[in-house]
Amino acid sequence: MSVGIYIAGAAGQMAQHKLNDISHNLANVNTAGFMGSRSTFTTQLSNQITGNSTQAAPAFAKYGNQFIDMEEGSIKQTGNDLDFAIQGQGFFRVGLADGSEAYTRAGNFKLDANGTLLTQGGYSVLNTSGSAIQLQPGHITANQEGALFVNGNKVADLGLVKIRDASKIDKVGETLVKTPAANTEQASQDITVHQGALEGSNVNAILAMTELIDTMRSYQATMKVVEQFDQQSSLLSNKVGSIK
Amino acid sequence: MIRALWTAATGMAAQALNVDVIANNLANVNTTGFKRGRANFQDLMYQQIKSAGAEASAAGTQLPTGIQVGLGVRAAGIESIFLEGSFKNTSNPLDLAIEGRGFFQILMPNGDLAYTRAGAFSMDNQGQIVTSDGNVLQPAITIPPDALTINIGADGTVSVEQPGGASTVVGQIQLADFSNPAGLTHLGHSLFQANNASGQAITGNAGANGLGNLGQGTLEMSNVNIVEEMVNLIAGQRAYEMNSKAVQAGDEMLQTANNIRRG
Repeated sequence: MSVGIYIAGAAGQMAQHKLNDISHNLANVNTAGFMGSRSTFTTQLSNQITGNSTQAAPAFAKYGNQFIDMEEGSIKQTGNDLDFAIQGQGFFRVGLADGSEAYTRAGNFKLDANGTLLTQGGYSVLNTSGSAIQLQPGHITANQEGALFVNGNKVADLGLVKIRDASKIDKVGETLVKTPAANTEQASQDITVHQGALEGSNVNAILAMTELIDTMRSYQATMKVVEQFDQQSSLLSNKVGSIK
Repeated sequence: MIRALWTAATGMAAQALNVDVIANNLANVNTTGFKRGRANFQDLMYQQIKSAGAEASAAGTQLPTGIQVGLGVRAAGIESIFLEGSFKNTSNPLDLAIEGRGFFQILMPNGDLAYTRAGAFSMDNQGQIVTSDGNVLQPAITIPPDALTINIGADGTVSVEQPGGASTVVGQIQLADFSNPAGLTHLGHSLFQANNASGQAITGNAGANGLGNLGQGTLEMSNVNIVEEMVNLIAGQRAYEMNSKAVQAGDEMLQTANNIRRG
């Protein structure tokens, strides 16, 4: 068989992967604090697989890498005292059940029965020294530096970090991301916190729909190529050598 | 099969829930003491195709980034937003609004306590202050049948004026507060129930310990903001449509694959 049919098949597979990414982004087009991600594809020369280096080598498409879109989502006003939006490239610190730390931009927090500030997934939101935040019943206000006040008395500072290298981010679901602690730094003055506002998903719906169409069409095109190879080999086996 | 089909289906299910919550908010736009709900969403777990930092060659070079395929979205919860609704003046002496934190305590027929911010009270045949469903406000307060006027102070003191001009205090309304009001269970009928997430009720007099004052002759309206709900409805419906397109795209791609081999 010609190597071409496999090349077209691999390209089709990559289009499927791309569709999976787009679907995930679209599924989260209304998820607060969600950051979209995108995969890139690279080429792998076929002679690297076959070991035959003398031929001019056709190339396969394969997974390259993935990057997380760090652009800020649109911020909408909700008026809810427990909604916080970060302006600037910062993240809230979140303590996971196993003691490790994760980060999130989804500031739609809630309280438990003891007044502990939690993410929607039920993990504690951490202060600047890495411990959970307790809020007594009362009127909760926050300033732009992320200090929390109950009835006007300061009770805690929201822990905010910046992530140095976005490529080292691992998404872990529940709108949380993980990255090694060495890749984070204390947030600086250029990050502000807004109470009563929430950052939406940063997925650009129009772009995602365009990519969806593009992916589908390129898939159809590569499948046409597979079809052509199929017809070619069918001609070869049925027509060549037949006596009319 | 293509994961995208299921991924996009989670998106459709999430947006359907979102529209359900918005519809309930809109239906209660004129319900006294109603607190609007909001569906919160989170991304689902990720499938690891390539881990960042994995070895890329025998020489020890590492992959700078990994590949993770997300599997969609899930609802994290439906949260009640306890923002104050706007107040409406009714001049009815038994219409009460709480200006600030707190809930009225209501005794349910089964003996449990329920909590509400809908202060449209009336009297039953024994003169007790009851909700529009006939459940008694706690602590129970009985208005004497010969009362000419009912006066309820900002701190919840209920006094009545009887023939002869004498003013008698007949009781004091107490309010309940919670560490986490958003965690209360909705019972319908504008009532809430305490649970492990909300914490135990902390009772006290109106106007003390952070509890709000009572306003007589006033009702707290629904806190639903129609414009906001309509915008959310549009966003939710469009997100639903987009996800259905992703399902369609997945379907068409499978169809294309199926059509490669004819006959």
